[in-house]
Amino acid sequence: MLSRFFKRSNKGGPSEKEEGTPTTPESHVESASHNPLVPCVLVVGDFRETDAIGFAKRAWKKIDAHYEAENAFFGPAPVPVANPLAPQGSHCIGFDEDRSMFDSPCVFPIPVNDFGRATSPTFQMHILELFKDHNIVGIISCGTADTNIGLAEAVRFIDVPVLLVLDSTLDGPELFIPNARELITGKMHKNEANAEQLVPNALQLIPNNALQAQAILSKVGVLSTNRPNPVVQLLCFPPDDPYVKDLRSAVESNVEETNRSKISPELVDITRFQVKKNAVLLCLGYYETLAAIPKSIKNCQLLLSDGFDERAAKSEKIEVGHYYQISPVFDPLEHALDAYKVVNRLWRDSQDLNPDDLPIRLRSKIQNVRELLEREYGDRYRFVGATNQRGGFYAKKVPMRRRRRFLPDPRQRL
Amino acid sequence: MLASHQNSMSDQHFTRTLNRNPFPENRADFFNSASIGLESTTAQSAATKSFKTWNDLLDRGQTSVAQLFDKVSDRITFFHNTTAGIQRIFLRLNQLIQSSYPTLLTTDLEYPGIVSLVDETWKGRIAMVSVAHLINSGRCAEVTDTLKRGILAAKPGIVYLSHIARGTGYRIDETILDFIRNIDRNIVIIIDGAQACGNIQLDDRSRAEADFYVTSGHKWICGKQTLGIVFADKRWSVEDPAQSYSNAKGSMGTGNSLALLSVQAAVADLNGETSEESPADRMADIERHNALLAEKFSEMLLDRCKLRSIAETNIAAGSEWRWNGIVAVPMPSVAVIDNLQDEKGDDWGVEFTYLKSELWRSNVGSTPAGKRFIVNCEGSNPDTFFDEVNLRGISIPDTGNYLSRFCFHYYHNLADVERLVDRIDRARTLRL
Repeated sequence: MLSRFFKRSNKGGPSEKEEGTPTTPESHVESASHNPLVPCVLVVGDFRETDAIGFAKRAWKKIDAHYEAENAFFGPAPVPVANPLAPQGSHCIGFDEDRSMFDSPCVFPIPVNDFGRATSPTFQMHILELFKDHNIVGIISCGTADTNIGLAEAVRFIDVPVLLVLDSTLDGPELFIPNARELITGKMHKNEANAEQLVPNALQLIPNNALQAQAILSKVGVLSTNRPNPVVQLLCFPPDDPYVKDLRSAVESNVEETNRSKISPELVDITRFQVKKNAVLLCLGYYETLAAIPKSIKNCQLLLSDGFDERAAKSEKIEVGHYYQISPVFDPLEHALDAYKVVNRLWRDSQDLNPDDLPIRLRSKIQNVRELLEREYGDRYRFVGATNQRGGFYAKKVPMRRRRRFLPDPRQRL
Repeated sequence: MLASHQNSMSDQHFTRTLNRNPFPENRADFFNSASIGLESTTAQSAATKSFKTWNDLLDRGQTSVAQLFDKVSDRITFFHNTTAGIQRIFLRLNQLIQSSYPTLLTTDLEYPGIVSLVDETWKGRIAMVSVAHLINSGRCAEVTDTLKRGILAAKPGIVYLSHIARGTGYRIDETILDFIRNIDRNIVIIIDGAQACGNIQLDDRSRAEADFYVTSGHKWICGKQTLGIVFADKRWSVEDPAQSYSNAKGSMGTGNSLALLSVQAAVADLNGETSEESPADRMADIERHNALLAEKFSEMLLDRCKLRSIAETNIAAGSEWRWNGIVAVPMPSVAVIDNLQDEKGDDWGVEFTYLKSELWRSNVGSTPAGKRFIVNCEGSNPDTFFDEVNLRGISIPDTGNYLSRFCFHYYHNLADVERLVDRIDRARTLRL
């Protein structure tokens, strides 16, 4: 059931853990009875060996390392299950009953693999089962827009702070407003709106696509300078992907709003892929997008959105000397760690109840998280609504790292 | 031990009548304290007495009622009725909430009037954990765990629970309050003690962990109708400036001096003032007495009339039952209930409550936008786990078998119980 998605490690440290290997519980923690009071945080993303963008695994490694460094009070954290058919293991969480759980500096992290199918009922029921059995004090989403769509559906009735680390989709946080759909579709009268609808239960730590669009278009502007008739081509793939659609919309809105008369992106159809000579080609998508392109990209200035990862530098599909990678100013892995630390802090602060300040008990948790982030990591976080305005994006020049081709000895040719 | 039949506790206890104020002639046939309690003649006559000032009257009332709690009188606030007290609590919570409405969690054991009230006023989500079916089917041992799971799953900011369920007499396991506090110390806990205060001794945990403990003066406390009583930390400021019960200077609406005088006299008999016992000893004695009478009634009903109370259903299924003055019995038919309620010759009609089919809420008034859902912890998919509902027009879960509620209080004794069982037996036979 629950442990189909994660299993416990039977070893002490993170270095000894091996992904996907069935284990037998044996530590003192496993032998203790499950304690539902132990505070837990879910780290959600795609942990598959293949087909995953890989960020969730790296973020988990970072969070797990921090938990271990802080003495892993509740025992070793589970290892993400990479295979959905992996055998069940124990998922009991306990601790030495002679100690107070409030001695722990950290909450217990649980990796949750969405297997790239976060909208499936199985995933959503798994989330509910986790909530039913554990004291979950926060969710750190390290997945894509797709992950967040499923996650928002799963926690639509649950009042828990959700921290979005990776996804920059503009309406990402709004997915976590339970009644937002009625407001959007106009089924609900405006006067009936209430605070619950107006305040998302999520914060987007990574800057959103409006900021990414700014960075993209300013780079496009620079690359188009001194060209009388600059050609900007826009490739969006997969076209129905929420992130791709959102980023495309942000780019188009930005062009319209800022009246960039010289930049008029022409949409490229992937089935009739044709890059114009000396054009600026802007690709919005993921690394997998490159595989879908029917022929190589050459004779152009290439810009890749933040969905592409470092593997692009080795891609055979790119036949230019370098490309520009749009990246967030701050490493998303740092955001993931910030998210974990702030959830720890939120939990610890909630134990110091001040009876003289009763109203503070009724404040929304997400508001407390937001204040903590802005106070503790002010250089990285300044929120307007649910979106982080600090940091933004920049265009990084990336040289292609080609595998050395075998060339015959010129003398032999002779 | 909390469990089932406690025959070892000797039958001697409940054969005696507790020292108490005198009650009217029909007390032996009055088993309706959970609805409107019987007022003692002492309380009736106290209501006719004069008083110095309104504030003095309030102070004396607060001091007496405080003996049932933690003796701190400024934590007691009177209201026109219980609903007004709860409305005031929700008004204060609404005032204190700033940017977002937390989820309010309750159960399907609550009084429909309260469910209507929160449905009409709470702008955030309302999660109603489904536990009534467990009690009705003999699985009351699962209620605490189910409630814990519901709380974990919904992550509420406010929890509203009945100390003793009005319909069945199920008493919550008070350790749930520790559990809630350990999950999140900021959760606001409201305990509805309308069926507990005067029926059982209030334990330290309920007093300490509840932010608001609400009860009424006219049920188990046996005062004149219809004071609502709220026990809360002064810092919540629940006093209602629109009510003269808030001890305000000058005239602030109307207040009922008769009810205050009556409740004070009635409480004096429960908190040990009259009998010169400590409040804890006195209420412990009353709790034991009520529980033993209820248990005996339930046992005799099964033996002689083959009628199984909700408590017996649970005991038979291996669940523990924490006895108190309430016994709910599914009766065979409406005819039996009518026979029992009818006055026959020298006999008073037996006063008890037939819990007819009720709705959570009528169609009057509006419902704010916050979603309402039933939390079904046995749900096997997300839609059945959190079942989104409109509370209007939904029937309250019950056994469907003419559930009738009998209440045993400190003015009853074993003879009263035996007589009641005789009459139920007769009413049952008459039907045949």
